[in-house]
Amino acid sequence: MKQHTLSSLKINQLHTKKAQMEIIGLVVIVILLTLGMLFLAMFALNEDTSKKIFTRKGLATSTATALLKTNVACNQEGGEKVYPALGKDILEDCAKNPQSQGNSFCTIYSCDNKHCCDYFNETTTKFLNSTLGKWNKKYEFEAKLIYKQAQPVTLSIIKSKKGGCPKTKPRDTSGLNPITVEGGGLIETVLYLCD
Amino acid sequence: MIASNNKKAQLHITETIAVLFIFFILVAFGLIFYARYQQTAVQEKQEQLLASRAMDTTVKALFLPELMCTKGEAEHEDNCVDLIKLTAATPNSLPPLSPATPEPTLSEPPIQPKSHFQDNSEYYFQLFSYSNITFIQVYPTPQQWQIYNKQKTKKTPDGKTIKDWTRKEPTYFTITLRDDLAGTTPQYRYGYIIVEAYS
Repeated sequence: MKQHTLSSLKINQLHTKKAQMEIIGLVVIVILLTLGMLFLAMFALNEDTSKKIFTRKGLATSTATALLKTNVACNQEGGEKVYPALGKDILEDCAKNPQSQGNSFCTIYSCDNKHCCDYFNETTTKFLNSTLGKWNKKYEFEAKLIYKQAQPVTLSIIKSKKGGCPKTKPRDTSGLNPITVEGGGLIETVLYLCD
Repeated sequence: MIASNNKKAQLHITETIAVLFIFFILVAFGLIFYARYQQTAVQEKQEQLLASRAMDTTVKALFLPELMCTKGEAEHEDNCVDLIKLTAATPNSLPPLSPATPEPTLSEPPIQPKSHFQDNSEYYFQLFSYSNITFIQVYPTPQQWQIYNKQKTKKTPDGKTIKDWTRKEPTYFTITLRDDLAGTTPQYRYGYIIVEAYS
């Protein structure tokens, strides 16, 4: 009787050990599967973005520079046909005669019989739309007038049809393109590109 | 006792077979996943290489001394193409292609006088390889100049020339086109460059 109890105890111990081994085996399999999944996710998510960022940065810079350099067809006082630069001349004229101060006409240039600020905004929108917009890029263009001791005045904010590039999003900037305004002040223009 | 032991052994064998079966299934799944991943990785690598080549070609095209804006002995202007140089090198400017316009077929190339880039195609092939480089003017009037276009081609048994590339990577860059003949001061026009690398 005693011998029988001892052998059943031994069998029980053996079974427990076997069960433990099986659990360990299962745990090992689960760990291996998890590691496999982790590696897969790591490889799958490791996207090379260096080219994308380089292109975006370069594109932002080149677009902002080209935009501000472009000469547009306008009339000067007396009806003379002139070709001022969109950035240096038209934007400067806009900064000198902001619509917010009740100026309905610009002092130097008259382009398409529009206020120079309106003309700048419309032309810039058209240019950006025909390039960045056509290539399905999201962008945001800003032009601000900065005085010595005053709040900056926003001259222009243009966003792509797909939306702008807020600070919270990873975005690339063209860098500031400062334009000095005759009589004081500085215009800061910046173009943001994002995905 | 012997019968019970036999049954136990049979059970053990069945269990071992089941475990091995599951193990091999897992291994097979692993192999399938790995093969799929490798396939995708190779494809991605090829795309990356093509994108990198497109980028290199764009930079080369932007900094071509034959087209760059220069100011005598001063430094050249970035992202600027001299319109006089461009029209001299590629006399055939066209209005830009609309999306509905079909691409010209390879077997019927348009008859046009050869440009500087076509005359020196071997030299430019070393620079640009298989690619298509086009300068497009957006403002004031839409216009385009295709300076280089070399596609991989092959001949079919019936003698027709067909394209031998499957992927095309376009890269865009905004530029200004400087017109020195517009007046007393040079005028800048708004445009962009498209570089399509073929693979």
